[in-house]
Order: sequence, then C-alpha cells, then structure tokens
Amino acid sequence: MTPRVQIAQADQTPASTAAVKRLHDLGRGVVVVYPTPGRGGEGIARDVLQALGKRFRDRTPRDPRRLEVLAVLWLRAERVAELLLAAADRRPEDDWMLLRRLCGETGTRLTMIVEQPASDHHVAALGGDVRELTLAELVAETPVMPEDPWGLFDKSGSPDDRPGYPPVPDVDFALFPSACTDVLLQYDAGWAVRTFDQARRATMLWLELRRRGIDERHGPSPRHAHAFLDTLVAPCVTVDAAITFLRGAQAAFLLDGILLEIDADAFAVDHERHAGAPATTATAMALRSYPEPQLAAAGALACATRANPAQIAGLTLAAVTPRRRQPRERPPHRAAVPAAAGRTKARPPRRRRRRRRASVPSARWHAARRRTSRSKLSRADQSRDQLAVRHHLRMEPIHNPRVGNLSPARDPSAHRALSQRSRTAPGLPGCRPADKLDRYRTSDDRAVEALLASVHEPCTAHQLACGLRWTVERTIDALRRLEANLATTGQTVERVGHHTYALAARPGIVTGAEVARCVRHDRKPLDLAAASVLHRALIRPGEERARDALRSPAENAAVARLIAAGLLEEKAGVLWPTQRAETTFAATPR
Amino acid sequence: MTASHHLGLVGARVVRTAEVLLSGRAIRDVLSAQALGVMHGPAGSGKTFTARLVLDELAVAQAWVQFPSRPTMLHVARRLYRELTGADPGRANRFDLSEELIALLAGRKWLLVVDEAQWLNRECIEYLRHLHDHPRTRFSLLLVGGDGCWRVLSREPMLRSRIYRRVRFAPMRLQTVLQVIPGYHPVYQDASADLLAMVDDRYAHGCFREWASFTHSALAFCHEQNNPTLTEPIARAVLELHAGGEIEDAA
Repeated sequence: MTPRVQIAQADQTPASTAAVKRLHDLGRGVVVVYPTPGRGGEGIARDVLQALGKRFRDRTPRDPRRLEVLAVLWLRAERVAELLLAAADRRPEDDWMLLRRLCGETGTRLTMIVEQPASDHHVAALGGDVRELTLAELVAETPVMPEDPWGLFDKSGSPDDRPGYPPVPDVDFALFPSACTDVLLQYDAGWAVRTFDQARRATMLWLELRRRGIDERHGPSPRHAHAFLDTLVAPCVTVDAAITFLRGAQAAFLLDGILLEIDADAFAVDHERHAGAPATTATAMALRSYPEPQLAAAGALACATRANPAQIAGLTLAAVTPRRRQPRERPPHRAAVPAAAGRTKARPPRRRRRRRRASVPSARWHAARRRTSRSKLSRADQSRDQLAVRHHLRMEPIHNPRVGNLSPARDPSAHRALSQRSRTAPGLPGCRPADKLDRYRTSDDRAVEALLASVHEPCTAHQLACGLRWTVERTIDALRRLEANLATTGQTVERVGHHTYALAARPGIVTGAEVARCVRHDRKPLDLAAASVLHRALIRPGEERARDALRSPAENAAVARLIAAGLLEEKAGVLWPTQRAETTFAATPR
Repeated sequence: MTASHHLGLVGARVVRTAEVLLSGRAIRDVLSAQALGVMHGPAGSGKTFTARLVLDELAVAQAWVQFPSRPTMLHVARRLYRELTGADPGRANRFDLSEELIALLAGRKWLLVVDEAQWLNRECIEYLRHLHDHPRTRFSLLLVGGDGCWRVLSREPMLRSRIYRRVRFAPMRLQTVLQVIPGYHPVYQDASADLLAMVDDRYAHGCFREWASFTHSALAFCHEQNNPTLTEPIARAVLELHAGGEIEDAA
C-alpha cells in the first residue's frame, strides 16, 4: 500500500516550478498549497483554504483552530485526494506536523515538495512510513488534465472568467472592433476583440455545420438561431461580454447573408434579469470562495435562483432572508446564522441578548441602538478607524426578493423626485436619503431641475408652477436657487425668453467639434440596405461591387454612410472593404 | 514614467551601448515568458535609465516600486498594494494583503519593476518570488539594483535558479568611452580623444551618471564663454569644480 505521506525532491529550476503549478487541479482532487512566506498570521490552514479557492473577507474567522476545522471540512467536501505543499522545506516542522494531522483526518495523501533535502526534524514531524520520490515521478503518478490549448474541454467558454472585463462601446457590430481599439486601453481592447473574434468563429462554425447538415440539432429557422445565440451568451458573466459575443455573432451572420438585429438595451435588461447560468466557471469560483459553510450554502441558494457570480460574491445572509421578516429589525451583519454548535458556544452572551431584543421591535430598542451606533461611529470617525466605520455601514434593506435590488427609497428615477415625499425639507420626516446628502440644496430647486430635465424643452415659469402646483413666485425663487447651485457644474439654467427656462450646457466647457464627434458616433445600427451593400463588398466578385451595380437610391445613400464610417472605400468605381472592415469580418470569400 | 537623463540634461542623446541592447532583449524575453529578470551593476551605470527607456517602447501595464533599505515583507506588500490599486491598504495584515495582491496580479499581465533592489533582503525577495510563483498570478518581475542585489540572489540557489535573464552593467572601458561619448552630447562632438580620456580618467571613470554631471556643468561653462564645444580649459575648470582640488593634487 502506498504510504499516505511523501517527500518529493524538486530541482531549483523554473521548469520544476511550472511543473508543480500544472499539478493543481481541484476538479481532480489535486491541490497545491503555496504557503505565504514568513511566520505568524493564521497559520498554514489559511494557505490550505486559499488553495481550495476560499477568499477571506472582513468577517471571515481568523482563529487558527477554527481555520483548521474549516480546512478539514473543505478537504472532505471537495474530496481532495492529493495535497501538495510547494516549497515545503522553507516551512517549520510545526506546519508539517499540522498538515500531517489534517490529512490524516481527511484521508488525503500529503506530499511535501522540497528543493533542499528535508532535515531529520522535518521527517520526524511526519511520523513513520514516509516515501521519498522525485518530482518527475510525482508528476507521472499524479492525475492531471492534459493541456487544452484549443479550448476543447472548456465547457464554460466564458470570456470573462477573470474579473475586470471592460465596458464595451455601444456601436453596431460593423464598427465594434475599431471602436474598441479607439476607446479602450490596449489590453482591454485586445481582450474585447479576442472575445468578438471567438464568437465570430463559433458562429461561422455553427453556420457551416448547419449548411452542411452535420449539426442536425439546429435547423435553419430563426428559432434555432435564437437558441444558438442563447447558448453562446449563456456562460457570459457580464453584460458587456455577452454584448461582445453577440456583436461577433452578428458579423458572422452578415457574412452568411443574414442581417441580425440586436437591441442592446433590451438585451442588457434581459441579461440582468436572467444572468448567471449556474454552470459557469465564474459561478463555481464565487461559490467556492466562501470559507464558511453557511455562506456557501446561501450562495448555492442564490445560485439556484439564478443570481449571477457578482451577486453571489457580494452575498450576505440577509439577502436570502425570507420576505416576511422585517429587514430593519435585524440588520444584515446581525442576521440569524444557522451556525455550527461550536460557534454558537463561542458567541458572547451579550450579542445573544441583543438578538432576542431585535426579534421584538420596539421604539426603545431602536433608540438605544441608534445612540450606541452614533457614539461608536463618531469615536471611530475621530480616531480614523476605517474598519470600525465600515462595521457600522448598513446595507439598504432589500424589499425586493431578487438579490441585489435596491429598495424603492434609493430609486433615482425622475418621477420620484417630483413626488410629494421628495418636496419635504431636509431633516423632516419623509425626506429621502438623498435629501441628507446635500444640505445646501433645498428640494424645491431639485424639483424644478427634475421637471425641466423630464420635459426636455424650454418651459415657462407658469408651466412649471402648474406642473408642480406651486405659486409662480415659489417657482421663480426655486429657479434662481437652481441657477446658483448649478454654478459649479457643467449645466446651467438658460433663460430663453421672459420667464422661459431650459437646462443647457454651460458655455465654454465643450467645443462644437466635441459635440459633433459625440453625435456622429451614435449607435445607429446597420439597416438592411447598408447590410446588403456591405455584404456584397465583403464577399461578392468585382462586378457586383461596382458603384453602378447599386440597385436603389437607398443603397446609394447607404454607400455614402459606409464610406463616411470608414468601412468601405471606392476605387475606380468599385467598392472595397477598408482595413477596418477587414479586421472586423476577416472574411474569406466563398 | 519616461526615461530622462540625469539632472535633466538638455541635448543628450541615448547611447546604444551593449548593455542597452542586451537589456532590451532581456526585458522582452522576461515579458514573453512571464519570468524573473535582474539588471544589476554599480551605481550610475544606467540601469534604471535603460529599463525606463526599454519599457517606454513597450505597451505593457507596469508598476515601478522602490523600497527603503531593508524593508519588511509587510512593507513590501503594502507598497505593492498601494502601487497597484492607488488605495491605502489600511490596517490589513500581510496575509490579507497577499491574498489581495494575488487577486490583483491574476487579472491583466503586469510587469513589476523593483528599482534599487539591492535594498531588499532575502525575505523580501522570497516574498516577491512567492507572488510570482503563485499559479494564479501572471506577472513578470524585473529587479533593478546594485551589485548587492545580485549578491543576495546568488547566495540563494532557489532564487538564483529562477532568474531567467540577467544583464550585468559595468563601468565603460576607455575604448568604449572614446567611441560613445562623442555621440552622447553635441558638446563633445569636436573634443579630442585625449581630452575625453583625461576627463574619464580623472573624474567619470566610465560611469554614465558622472558623465552626465560633468556634461551638465560643462554646458554651463560653454554657454558662459559662447563656446559650442568642450575645450581643455573648460574641462579643467569643470573638473576643478567637481573634484574640489583633488584633481590638481593628483596631477
């Protein structure tokens, strides 16, 4: 029988470092632990948890013993068969002994990867029956997934598994890659263009399979195309990545002679609503990142209700509180936790008392709590103790059962600004949280500002007064205050005529050229005529691309637009795709 | 951060010495392999200038850090966090910061340049190596420092063996000085080889920083005397100014 503890001798070369890196494969139960150098801290158990994908947050337990319990729990839960400790010769014997014990409890085989021969003390810490081998032997024995350079085994296909996918420009597919290059940082642009390319290639493959009748699951109807697009964007974590995917698909469809129109706004709303397919790698990583089992369970619940990875990552237990419970009675950081027995015992009795009070809401309790909070907060503010300040920051209560929705009190839409509640002065009952933010602005001037912005046209004071059911005097007074308050902003109240007002840009801040450029780069999608001309210019022979071969005035106008957009150019009466169009479509004429 | 000559010397050109050419190649290799590189040599030999010069031409997300003498691992972690995020790390400990740093360095490809790396001790280099070796991070590490930096690295086989590219800077030999300096600044264009040899022998000793200081002062003298090129009296006056009489004594 193979001993449960091994010492693997590795060379001190970058190649052996890379070989050890490749061994880590949580899916196959092989975990490589990279211990943080130095002594102290929460011990090696923390490094084990981190290797298992756990992320330590503000309220994550830090007690080394508790972390050891969690490490055992997660080693069992993840069914880890092999635990490897990289650079083990630089860790003290205590760590070796502790890992030996943890692995003994979970039935995991422990391998110490050393670059220098282990000392007798270290070997003694492992107890008897230790096997010694080389890194090459270890690599040969350890089950690893072969490298997948073509992404054949990557079922997720998510372009934004890594965080930080950039916000992409809102332009139609024909201009998408060039717009990315123009307005994104080089690295981000490369990422977006690669994603675009990935979707274009996948769609072209799908179209080809469909054409050859190989993929019988997908017929020729729009319904099947819709199903394909759904599958394509399903692994995307962010709306931007999904939109990039769809833009790439549009480019492939155009090459196939189909104009696929996508309403980006409607899609974004829909994606937000249905975001987060449970099977994505990002979702799994977010779920896996909780060291506490109860939070991981809450994450699984959120995942089952199709919350996306970002929502799961920012989850608190309060977010999955049943709706009938009053959220204000029990703030999120004090929510009832179905904790393990050990933790319940360790909890101080004072907190338990406070929780019992919270279950019976009373004005007295609220007042006492506010007093305590204020004093602690002010003390923390004076001492600049950021952690203490953060502790007192409360989440907005979630009235909507969907995770991450804001309460109606935070709803920033314009009609709320005009409601009766918002016209109350700051500090009075019923004022919105926003009223407290800017005490130099009264709600009257905010109301006229919101009304002017809602109407989009110049309004007379009389109109505004009628709309708000005020006197004209009050309205003009509010307009004057608004004008003064906007003095430091890019907007101003423009007096169009006698007591006629409109919101306008403050002169001298942006130039006419900047405005013109902004207007020119609108998100107007390609129409059918333009798509038809572009398609011909990309893949049809020269005689069909001649200017004279254009079929209608609409196509002539479309050519002018495409030339202006830099997608086509005319040479000797023939239309040619520009470099920009070639980059977008990378078309191979059929 | 762009490369600029010592003392903001006006009119100086970039001299393509062997070290500059080697550094360009080495930095590109380090970037493509996401490996660890080191540029070391005596003070004033142009290591930092060369690194900046090469990196100006490369479009890569880079973070330049410099630490005080013998920092702790916590100090290194805090400084890196501040450089990468622009935010204050607060009172987070080294372990929390390491986790944050690994997450930060897992995103885009970074080049981390540690200037004056000779001030790092073994533990700190070990800490950087830990971040670099972590399977999630994807950054290249360039250590730029004095010979002490190489001494620390070479003492530890586990660190020494991980150096993918090493560029050693040394003071220029006289032959190199005579080849390179006439192209360094217009003020030396018509200067005689004997004059350059004298300056190098008595003051600069093949060190670029000393040559930049000398040129800066010589330019001021030339300007005062409306003389576009360096002459022997000007050179002697500048030497006198820099060496405080030692040169005449030595002569």
